[in-house]
Amino acid sequence: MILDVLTVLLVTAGCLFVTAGTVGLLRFGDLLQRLHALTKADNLGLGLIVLGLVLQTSNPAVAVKLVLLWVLALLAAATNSALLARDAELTGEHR
Amino acid sequence: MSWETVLDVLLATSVLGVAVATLFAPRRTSSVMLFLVLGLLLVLVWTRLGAPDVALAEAAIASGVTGALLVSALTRRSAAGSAETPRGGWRSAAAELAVAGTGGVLLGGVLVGAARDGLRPDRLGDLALDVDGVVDQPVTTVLLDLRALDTLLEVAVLAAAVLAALAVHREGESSIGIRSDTRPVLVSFVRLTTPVVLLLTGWFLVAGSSRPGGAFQAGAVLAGAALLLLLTGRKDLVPTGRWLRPAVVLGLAVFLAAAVLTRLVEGGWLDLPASWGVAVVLVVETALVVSIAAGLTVLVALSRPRYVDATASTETLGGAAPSDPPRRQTEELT
Amino acid sequence: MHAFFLVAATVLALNIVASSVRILRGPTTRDRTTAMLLLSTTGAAVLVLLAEVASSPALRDTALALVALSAVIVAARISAERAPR
Repeated sequence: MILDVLTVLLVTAGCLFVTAGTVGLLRFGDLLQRLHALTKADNLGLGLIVLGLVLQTSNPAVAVKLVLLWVLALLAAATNSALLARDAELTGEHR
Repeated sequence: MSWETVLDVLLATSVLGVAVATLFAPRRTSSVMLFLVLGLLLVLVWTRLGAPDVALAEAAIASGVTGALLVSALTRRSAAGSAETPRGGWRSAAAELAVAGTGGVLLGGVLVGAARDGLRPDRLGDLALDVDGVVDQPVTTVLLDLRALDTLLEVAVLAAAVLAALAVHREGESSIGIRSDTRPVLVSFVRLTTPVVLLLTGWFLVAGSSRPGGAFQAGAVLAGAALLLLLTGRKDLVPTGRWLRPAVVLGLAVFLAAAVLTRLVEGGWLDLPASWGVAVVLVVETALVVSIAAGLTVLVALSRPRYVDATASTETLGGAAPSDPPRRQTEELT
Repeated sequence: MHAFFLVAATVLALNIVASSVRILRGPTTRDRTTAMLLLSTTGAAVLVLLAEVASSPALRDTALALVALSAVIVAARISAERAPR
């Protein structure tokens, strides 16, 4: 069924993006680079997975809940990364 | 070997690995963060074990209350003086080994006995599924219908702990000095998500009757929202001051009132009738949500490091007068 | 389809475990807190996949709670950092 194929493709792409984000978290050399890689790739991966699962369900409430999950994740990621990135140089924090 | 087994084996080994890493990480901050990773892995373990109620409670508490508590305790003060506690000599190592060995032997005995005997009859879980309780959800049935007295005592213990924390903190006067973070990023995020979190709280509360949810999960989520509000300086929206202690004991009071009511009407303490038992459960759970949220918020808010700053305002929790000179705060600071 | 979701969940769980490397290594506490960002997003993804596999809609609620409260830890950490000693 075409929906199943689409779901498989989307979820696979989502997992690839999440893995890319983790690789960025582990390999990049700077806090700001890691934040950038993580928030962009992870949320895109989550969005693709959510999209793949929305295709699988016939219940509109479930689809709305999944999309709400993704929107909340985007908001949280934007806020968290802004909080963590700001003053990163100024606090002079070590350890 | 099915893919479920692969996932289960991965989760089990990673839980063990992360636990070991938590204990032996060189820095306290690493240990705390790894502990939170362990919390998330436990959420996944609970889902694989078929316990969504516990997974929901663990997710709400580990990401909200416990996370904030542990992370805010890692102040720079402790990191600067991060001389590791000196590992005691062979005596303490032998004591640790003895304790671990005894615990391991006892636990192993329990597991071996369970594997050998199999499922025993009359297990509470099976009884809960069969019983015709006032609500459909078996976990809520056990908590508030079959074993309501246990839950009442647990609520009493929680209320007593919170009141004791409030009393011990600064000799009966509770004050927290939170440097509220009013940056627009955080403020607008809180403004957007607090309604969603309130909706989630109401949903978990109402859903507890028919699907995983319940008072504790709802209370933990609400406590997370209250913490966010406190951290952005919206103290006016959080019941502090003279409403704090009433909010903490509200759940216990309503629970006791329900017990008295059922005693008078039905003849048995907490004997819920079939007709209006659902209403009793819902009212009690609502009051418990308020109490649990207030209690958890207090326990986290009181743990934040106090600081001596003559210029910043000290907001008081619990209605105490904020008129102390900074000098006195220095003496209190441990 | 369920087998595929389980494979995806396994991959994501490996990502969660991999984040602990950054927690062990990351030179500053902010680096370690960055790894926590991964936890909420990837954890929510795993929970949503498992909700499909186990047909348990409560797991989507769990994912929602996880994501909605993920800012509490970061905000608490930042606020504790900024408070002078």
